[in-house]
Amino acid sequence: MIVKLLRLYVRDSWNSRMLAFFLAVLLLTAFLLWFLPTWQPEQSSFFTPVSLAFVDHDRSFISRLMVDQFRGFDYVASIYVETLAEAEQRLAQNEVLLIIIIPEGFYEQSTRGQQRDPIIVHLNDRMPTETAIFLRLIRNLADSIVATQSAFFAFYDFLLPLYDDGAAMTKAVDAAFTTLFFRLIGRKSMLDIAEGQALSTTRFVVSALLCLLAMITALPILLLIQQDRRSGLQDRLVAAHVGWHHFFLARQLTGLIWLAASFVPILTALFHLYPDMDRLAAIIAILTLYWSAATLAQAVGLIFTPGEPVVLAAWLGILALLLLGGCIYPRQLLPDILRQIGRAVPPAWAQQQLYRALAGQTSSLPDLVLPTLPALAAAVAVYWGWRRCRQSSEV
Amino acid sequence: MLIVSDLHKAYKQEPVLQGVSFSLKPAAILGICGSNGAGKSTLIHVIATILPPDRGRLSLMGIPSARAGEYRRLIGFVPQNIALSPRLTVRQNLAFWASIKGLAGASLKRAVEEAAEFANVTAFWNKPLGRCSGGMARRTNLAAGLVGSPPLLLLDEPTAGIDEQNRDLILDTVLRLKQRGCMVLMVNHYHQELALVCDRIITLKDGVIAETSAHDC
Repeated sequence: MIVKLLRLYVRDSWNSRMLAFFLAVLLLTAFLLWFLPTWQPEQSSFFTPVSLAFVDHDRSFISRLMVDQFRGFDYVASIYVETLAEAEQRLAQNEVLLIIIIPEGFYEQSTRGQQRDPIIVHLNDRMPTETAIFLRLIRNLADSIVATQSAFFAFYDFLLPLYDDGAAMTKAVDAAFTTLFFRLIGRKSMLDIAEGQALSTTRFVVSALLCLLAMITALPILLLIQQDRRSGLQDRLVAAHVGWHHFFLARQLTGLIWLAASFVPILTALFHLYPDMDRLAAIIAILTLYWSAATLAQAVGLIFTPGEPVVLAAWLGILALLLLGGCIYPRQLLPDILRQIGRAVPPAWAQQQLYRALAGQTSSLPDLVLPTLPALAAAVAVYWGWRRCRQSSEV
Repeated sequence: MLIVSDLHKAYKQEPVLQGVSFSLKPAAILGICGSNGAGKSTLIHVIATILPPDRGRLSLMGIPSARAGEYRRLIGFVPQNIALSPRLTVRQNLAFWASIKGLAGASLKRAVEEAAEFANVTAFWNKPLGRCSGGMARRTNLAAGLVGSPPLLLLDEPTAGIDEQNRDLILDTVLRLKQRGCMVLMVNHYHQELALVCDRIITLKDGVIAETSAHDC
């Protein structure tokens, strides 16, 4: 019975929309084959080098040293040392990221341990991210000067005999500590970045795309059910003693055939591009995601009255599930509440498995089996929808 | 013989059928008439076991509807809409329904040919249903119900929306079914049309039988 229904459904669902879908998948495959080998998103930078303006009222050796050291940073394009009026004009014209005003007597007040006037920073609100990064840098700089002074005063008595006078010693030690601080930042040795855990944009995009395609394949099943209900084919088959499980499996398998047909070219391309890919894990992730989405589509098709609004709602539902599953934005960037909900949606698991599979990492059995749980829940919904359909037919 | 006894059916507490009882002998045509919402389609769906009744009994040739597998084998159901695949030809559609009824090989071929000849669809049976006219599709819809020669045929508005010529062809097929000894239960909005072929017409109103009339056809 299932085979007979399957043959009918495959022939019925092979239409211009399905053809367009296959063409889109083929185009996508061709695009991936052409684009992925040349795409190296890791080389792209988060922000372009920026320019700063200094208003140096102190004109001490330490303020000059600060300017020189900033100039040595890779991500600083140019530094303007000028008057406040000139700097403000530059900021207004968006030429500089921020203005750093070093007050008069800044160094003197620091070395004498006096209450010193603060460094004033004028921000550029058109570059909020870059400004925030530089502000943090400047705060660290201020902290380092305090630390330098502490170290200096702690060893003052021991170091003093090495210098002609106290002023010369203070100047030398300050210069040494400040230079050291900037060098450390400049060489990035103060930042320990675990590059291995960084999100791979390529793998993220490919895994999200596979999830999208697997879920979209469930939509023709929804259309098939709506067509069956509208035409009375479902009723007629029920009157011919076709059981709900026959419908369920035949529709699932119909979608599975379309899924296989559309994924063969794209997976072949990916196996070629990612030779280390864990193929079995990837295939299992795609199959379980499809099965869950198709079961859900069947439940929706049986529970709700056939019509365009249901198809539109199903589209939006797919997008919402993809969003919660971290297929539109990485889950790490989502608000906490969405991240928690996202743990329960099939695309989250599938995307994670595919992401890992593309890197050649194998998945554990529970990771592969867990996604079938929503499919089971959806199968219960299909049965409930079927009963509901039978209790209140649209006659 | 079809025996319908004290059928009740309600949708969300709203009663649609309230104690409908009648019987239908072999070689007889029973018409069911009534206005929109009278319960005609619900009644035919309950008899076809598509909808379960809330109360009441159904039996066909001594087999209660509870024995669904055996009961359904005796029924040919023709729904109001064209419940066939538009991509298959007329012959393929009939073959599909024959296979659903468990037929295969030579018996399937014979059943398809018989149904096609009986419903006058052989002239266009290699045409995809999607390219057939409304009348042709209606006749094919009827032919699909005839496959396997079921003793009871349930027709839900079989002549809706077609021209006079096709309507006459369908009604002629229904009359020939009676001659073959088949039981036919036909739902229609129009009493006059039913009177052309039916031996008896039941008029439903608010879920109960409001009137029963006998006719000589």
